[in-house]
Amino acid sequence: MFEGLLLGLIDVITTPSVFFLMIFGVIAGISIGALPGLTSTMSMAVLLPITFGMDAHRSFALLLSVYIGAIYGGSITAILINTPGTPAAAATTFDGYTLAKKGQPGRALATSTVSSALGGIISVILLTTISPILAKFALRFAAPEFFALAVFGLSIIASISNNNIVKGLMAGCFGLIIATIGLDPISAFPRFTFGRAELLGGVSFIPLMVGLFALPQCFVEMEKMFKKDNILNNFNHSIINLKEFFQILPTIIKSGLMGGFIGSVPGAGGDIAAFAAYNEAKRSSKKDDHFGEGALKGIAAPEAANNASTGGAMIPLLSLAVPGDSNTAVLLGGLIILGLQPGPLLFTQQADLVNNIFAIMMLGNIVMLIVGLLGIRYFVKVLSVPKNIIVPVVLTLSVVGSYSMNNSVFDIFVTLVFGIVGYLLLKADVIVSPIVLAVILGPMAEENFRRALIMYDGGFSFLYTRPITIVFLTLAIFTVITAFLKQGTFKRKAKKKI
Amino acid sequence: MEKKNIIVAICFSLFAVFVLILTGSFPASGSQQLIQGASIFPQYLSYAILVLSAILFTVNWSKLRKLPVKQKNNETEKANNLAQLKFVGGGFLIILFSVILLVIFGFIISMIIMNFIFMLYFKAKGKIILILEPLLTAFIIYSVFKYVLNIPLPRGILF
Repeated sequence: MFEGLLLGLIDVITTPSVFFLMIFGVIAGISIGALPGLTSTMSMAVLLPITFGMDAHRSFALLLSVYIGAIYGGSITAILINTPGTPAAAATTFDGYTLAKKGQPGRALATSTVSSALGGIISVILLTTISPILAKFALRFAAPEFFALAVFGLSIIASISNNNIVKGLMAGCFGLIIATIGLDPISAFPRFTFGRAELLGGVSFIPLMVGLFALPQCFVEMEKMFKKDNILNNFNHSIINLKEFFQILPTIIKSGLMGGFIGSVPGAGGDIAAFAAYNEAKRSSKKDDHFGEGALKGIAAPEAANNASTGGAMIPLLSLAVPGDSNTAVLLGGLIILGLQPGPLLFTQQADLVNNIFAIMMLGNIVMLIVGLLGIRYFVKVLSVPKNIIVPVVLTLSVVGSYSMNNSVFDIFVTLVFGIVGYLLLKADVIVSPIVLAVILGPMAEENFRRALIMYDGGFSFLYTRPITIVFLTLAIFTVITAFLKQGTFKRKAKKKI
Repeated sequence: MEKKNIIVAICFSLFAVFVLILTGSFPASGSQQLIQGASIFPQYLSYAILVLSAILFTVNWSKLRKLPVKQKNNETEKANNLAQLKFVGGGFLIILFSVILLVIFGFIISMIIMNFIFMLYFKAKGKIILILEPLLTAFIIYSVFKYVLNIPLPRGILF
């Protein structure tokens, strides 16, 4: 398989137009991904028509580069203004924004850039080497496995709840209830829609995320303006050094592998991968890592995982013609438009294209690394812009970002409602990330739980008779117990200090 | 903190009760309630919130009672920084007003107005910034979405 990758690399490097399209794609992806409300899927969908006149190699050079760039781009605003550009960057806010707030946005962005690139490269290696095995593994997922995966994802709430698990769990339950808005997945009964047709499909995720992250942040900045408190005016431009890089490297590799595996499961995208990797990095952290206080590993883990999910999501697409997420669904559309049929035959009939796809993903991550590192000095300039200018700009982007998802003014009002909810929760020291995680995983959990019950005639034996389900549920229990133990240790230490 | 947590517990409990009342009107599904019942998940989640709220309330109530009176007052002062809240509330009203304008006048006009009002609200210095920021923000974002990303933005009911 590596010979194929090598052939592809030579082909791509020696074709200037493909290389140029990759650079353009990465820059376009980063720019669009950084805009709050615009997802990587949207950025690919927007650029898809441009590829109609291109051959398969150029078309994929552009689309894959946009995909890679957009997933990374989401972290820039997550770090600088606590507003994740894409859902996959939501977990990056925990430590990324905290580090930027401490006056070290360059270090946070550099960690994010390096981790994203390496995570992506790890996933390409996975893609080229074990894609058939992973594809078979991913296909063994039925309703019980998806339910168990969702439960494992939800168990992460316990570890991201900042030492107040009860409040975190309450926020999680609140998010799960929000996720039940819309048509019931089994009986199609409209729940909590209050007669609004816009709510039949559920609360749109992007307006909710913009509301919970961007608006409360703007309100906090308003408070600072009121108090004439501008913490972020003093910051340094330094990036990470080699010692720090080697310290975070194991986290990047572990998270990259996790992201690749999770990304290969259809329906589990970069957002779940990022939260899961953050949880694992936090769980296995040492005392001096200081997760939640600007830990480099806390940035490296979600960023490596979400970019690694790009390669992971390509595995079922190329091997079995099953799109792993909405991004690969757009890519599947691109393949079909070009008259190609993904699946096992693609590897034999279009071997050079498959090689080029591997090479483009590999080089795309390297281009992203270079563009990202060169861009850091310009990205951090966002922090130099006076708050009385940046706040209205972010609010305008929030309004337009919420609207653009479904071309619906109703979604802007959804953003405003969740903006108030997010601000009040922030004031009450309730972390909003569990809500986001619950809204992502809620429909997956409920629908698959009920489908599993149907499969087993209303019995619960699927919880302990299916190996993958048992593994995920055990991991979930382990995660919750570890989080409670850590909270107990933290509180005991805090008492001792007093 | 204790007082905040008690307020959180009460608010979440009220939300859970509200959800339980709403789910009461959902159709029942006889013996297949767990599989087909649309109300079952929200109901279980509401019960979970009620239990968690009760834990949060009980733990913090007992802590609050042990706190000295002076500390109680300090925490109340912090939580009720009214002037600050009013400033943020004013900002929210500007956004709400602009979104209502957006329905009528479309994106460009409403966003120019929103940005201009915010500039005044934040006491931005310099007439050039006061004029340029709203115009540039609205036109650049509109152009990027309309011409680069091909996403149509609302033009309002008047145009």
